[in-house]
Amino acid sequence: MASVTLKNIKKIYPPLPGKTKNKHKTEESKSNLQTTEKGIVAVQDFNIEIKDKEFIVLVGPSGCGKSTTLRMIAGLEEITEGELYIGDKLVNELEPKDRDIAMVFQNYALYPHMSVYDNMAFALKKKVKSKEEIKKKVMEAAEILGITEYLDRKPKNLSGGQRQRVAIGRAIVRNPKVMLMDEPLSNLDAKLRNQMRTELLRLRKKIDTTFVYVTHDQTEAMTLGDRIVVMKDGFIQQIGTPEEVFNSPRNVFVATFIGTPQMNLFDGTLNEIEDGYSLSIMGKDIILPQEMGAKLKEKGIKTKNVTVGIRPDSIEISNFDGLFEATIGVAELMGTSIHLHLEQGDRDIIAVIEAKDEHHMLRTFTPDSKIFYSFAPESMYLFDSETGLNMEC
Amino acid sequence: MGRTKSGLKTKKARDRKKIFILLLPAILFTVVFVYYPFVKTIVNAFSRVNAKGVIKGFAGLENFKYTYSRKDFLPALKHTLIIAAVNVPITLVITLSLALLANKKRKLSPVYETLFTLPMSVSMSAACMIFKSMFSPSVGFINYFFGLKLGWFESADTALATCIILTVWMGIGFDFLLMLSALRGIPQHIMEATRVDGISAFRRIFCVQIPLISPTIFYVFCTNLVLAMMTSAPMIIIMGVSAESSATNTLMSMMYQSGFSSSDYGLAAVLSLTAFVLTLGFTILSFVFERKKVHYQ
Amino acid sequence: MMKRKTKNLIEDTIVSIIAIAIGLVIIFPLIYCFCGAFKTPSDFLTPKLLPGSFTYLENFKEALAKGNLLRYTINSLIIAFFGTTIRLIISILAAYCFTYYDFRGKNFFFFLILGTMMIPGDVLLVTNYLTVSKLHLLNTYLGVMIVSFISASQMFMLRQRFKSVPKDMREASQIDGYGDFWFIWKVLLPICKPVITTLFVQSFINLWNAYLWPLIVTASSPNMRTIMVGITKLNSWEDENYYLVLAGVCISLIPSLILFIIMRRNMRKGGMDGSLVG
Repeated sequence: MASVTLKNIKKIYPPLPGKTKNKHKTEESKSNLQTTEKGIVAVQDFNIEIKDKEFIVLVGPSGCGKSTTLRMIAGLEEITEGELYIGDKLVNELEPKDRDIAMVFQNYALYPHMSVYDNMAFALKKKVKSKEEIKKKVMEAAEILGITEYLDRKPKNLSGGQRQRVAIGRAIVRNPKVMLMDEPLSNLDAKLRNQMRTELLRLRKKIDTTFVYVTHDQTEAMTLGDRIVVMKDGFIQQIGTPEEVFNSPRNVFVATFIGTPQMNLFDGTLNEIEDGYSLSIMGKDIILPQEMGAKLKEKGIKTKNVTVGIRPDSIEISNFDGLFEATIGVAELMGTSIHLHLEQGDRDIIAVIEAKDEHHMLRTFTPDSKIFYSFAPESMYLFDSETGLNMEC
Repeated sequence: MGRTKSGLKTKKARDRKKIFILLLPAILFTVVFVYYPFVKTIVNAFSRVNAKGVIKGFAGLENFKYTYSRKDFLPALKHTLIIAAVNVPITLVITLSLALLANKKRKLSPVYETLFTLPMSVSMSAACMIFKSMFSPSVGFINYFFGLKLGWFESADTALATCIILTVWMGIGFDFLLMLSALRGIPQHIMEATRVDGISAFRRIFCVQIPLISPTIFYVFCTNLVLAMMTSAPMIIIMGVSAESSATNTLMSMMYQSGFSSSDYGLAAVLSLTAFVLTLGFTILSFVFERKKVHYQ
Repeated sequence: MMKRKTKNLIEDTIVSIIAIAIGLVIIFPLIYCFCGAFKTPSDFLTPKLLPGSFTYLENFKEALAKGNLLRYTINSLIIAFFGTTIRLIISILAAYCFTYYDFRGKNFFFFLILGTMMIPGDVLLVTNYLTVSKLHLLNTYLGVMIVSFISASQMFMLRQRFKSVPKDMREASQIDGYGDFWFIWKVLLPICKPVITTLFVQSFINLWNAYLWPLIVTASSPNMRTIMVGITKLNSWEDENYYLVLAGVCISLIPSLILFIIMRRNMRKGGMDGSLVG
């Protein structure tokens, strides 16, 4: 229904002498946030243009400023610096109620003394005057979410999943310009979470509005988002579609944060040779593919210490020969795949292998036995050891 | 719409206005009806005050000299201290015993708990009238029942005794409740441990339960001390305010007499202040003692 | 097993009987008062406990009429109700402010209010009397109520309760478009209803039972007296008309006893026994 633009948004929590710190502040002071004389900088240099009807996911570890950003969009936190537009209206100084947004809270924040119907209608009473109209809208939303039969119940008589639906229902009845969701699934158990995630995808098609969704779970980010904003320590690390973020992470943090199991990292040295580059890694030299070399050449790189990243599913395992030798640690059968932990010196390497492949049946992975692994040079990600930036983009 | 800078102020100003509106009534009444009169009392004690309550100049310690050399001051002080010294321990023993008796939840618990706590809903003046009638020398039930012929309110000693019985009675309900909830708040596993260890009931009470609820006992001690030091209503209601009744005066009832019958505001202020300082002193003393004896978990 | 059970049962019964006996002794003054109120003047001269019958209602009629107790009851009801309401509103506003807003001097103001608990009210009687008289509020309802508009303990308990309400409740209502007032009225107070009820009842009993302050403030206008002042004026030293006094006392006890029992049940149900301090 509307675009959202954040320009140079910055949030500083002043050091409070009083004892009344709220949860967010204490949570954030634990991480490596920058502190200035004005206080703790929770978010800075936040720039993004969220398009109309786009689904944006803010993702990052706890304390990275994602919730703070969301709360600034909601108007629950004051914006220290920068400009926030909803549509083309500057809303920095508007109260939450004047921003035409709706929000789903992590703990649902359902009013315990009101029935489900009243919870949903309560949000409408300020906007819509006629009773029939309210009823119509509530019933519509209840229909979409499949909670029509619980309308008379109080929140305490609902299960977690049902409460979650009501919380979403309360947000969608208002038909907001922007829908904000603060870790809405984190209080559900794993099975329910997957189910609700799928449902959110379906829901999204029915409700035409802009979504800003906060989560620490990268699976949710990858499956739900049109674009993902990866954050850490108050800074945006990368903005991009799930594919972009996964396939060309801008730095080591994004590379390791997105994708499970985590990307394997190795230290290596890059050397320029006659017609390209060679990478020396754990005593072996690998010639980089032409395409990669060309990109590096453009940047004029000669010799450099690099961090090499390899996704677990790019690692190939062999019992007989391969580039590197390791011992088998643990093998976890995950259903269709096996997570294989390899030990090489004090390094722990994870490889993901398809379980269907009969060469790699679980029983062949005896712990402490020798195994060889290798990977295709094309599957490598190269990061500058000093800056952590991806050297290919 | 470039109103970022000025707008930032308006939002904060809006909040400040809200805070002001929310807090103003509370702060206003606090200052006008508690702190101002408190300070004024202190000031009055050191000033010459006329019968309309207007300060006519600095008096130094004159008011104090005048008050402390009055014939009726020492008896009033004595009565106040006696009431405090007798009332506080008796209340503690009674309410603690009642709480120990009622600690375990039984079928009839609600019945006797209600009986024990009922006096706390009775007002001071109602209680005074009931006691006045009960202890009446001619038609009172107490003399009849015990076969006495005492004129309870005629001698200062018996009148004081009546007042102490009355104030203890009034305090039972609330203090019992505090003690009871403290006792029931002792973690179950501790009481179970004493049972498994085979500790006698006597030792369980004196070595486990009482030390564990000592913060509450201390609280009850302090509140009772303050209340007892401030006793005045029974004197005023039962004995009335007259020259003859001053035989049973406490500091506060004497203050009431001087303030409202004779409009001697200097005297009233000194008496208030004396009672307050004494109470504060005793409370501080108990806190010093408390540090050594009271166990906080 | 069986033996232990019966032993426990016997023990409980004995303790219960003892406790009830003690309880009856404790409320003896109330029983005495109740019985005395039904005695005829001649009954009263023989100091037995029980009256001739419980159908003699003349004492009540006379107390209400002659003692002007009806008027005093109405005065007391008005004072207790409005005094309590205003006191609660002021406490709620302050507690809300301390819970949800951060500002400079917050701790100072908080302890300024809490500090009033250290000062016994009796010390302030004289000066407050002069203040109220200067405000021309002697012999008015407002004059009787005004000193009880602030209650630090009430404010403190409300703040404790408000703090236990999740913060996102307020944020949700902000997003739903409700300001502070509507949030308090529609969300916060309904959630905290048990505490509010208890505080209301407690405060009502307090104001209903108040004696010394109403006595002073209404001293010069007999019509404005509260019932607690009224019952003490029903007799004098020479007069031994205690049957009238006791009837008046009975009337004055009815509201506080009823409210008290309701409150106790309320607290037992809400498991708030421990939070009654103040």
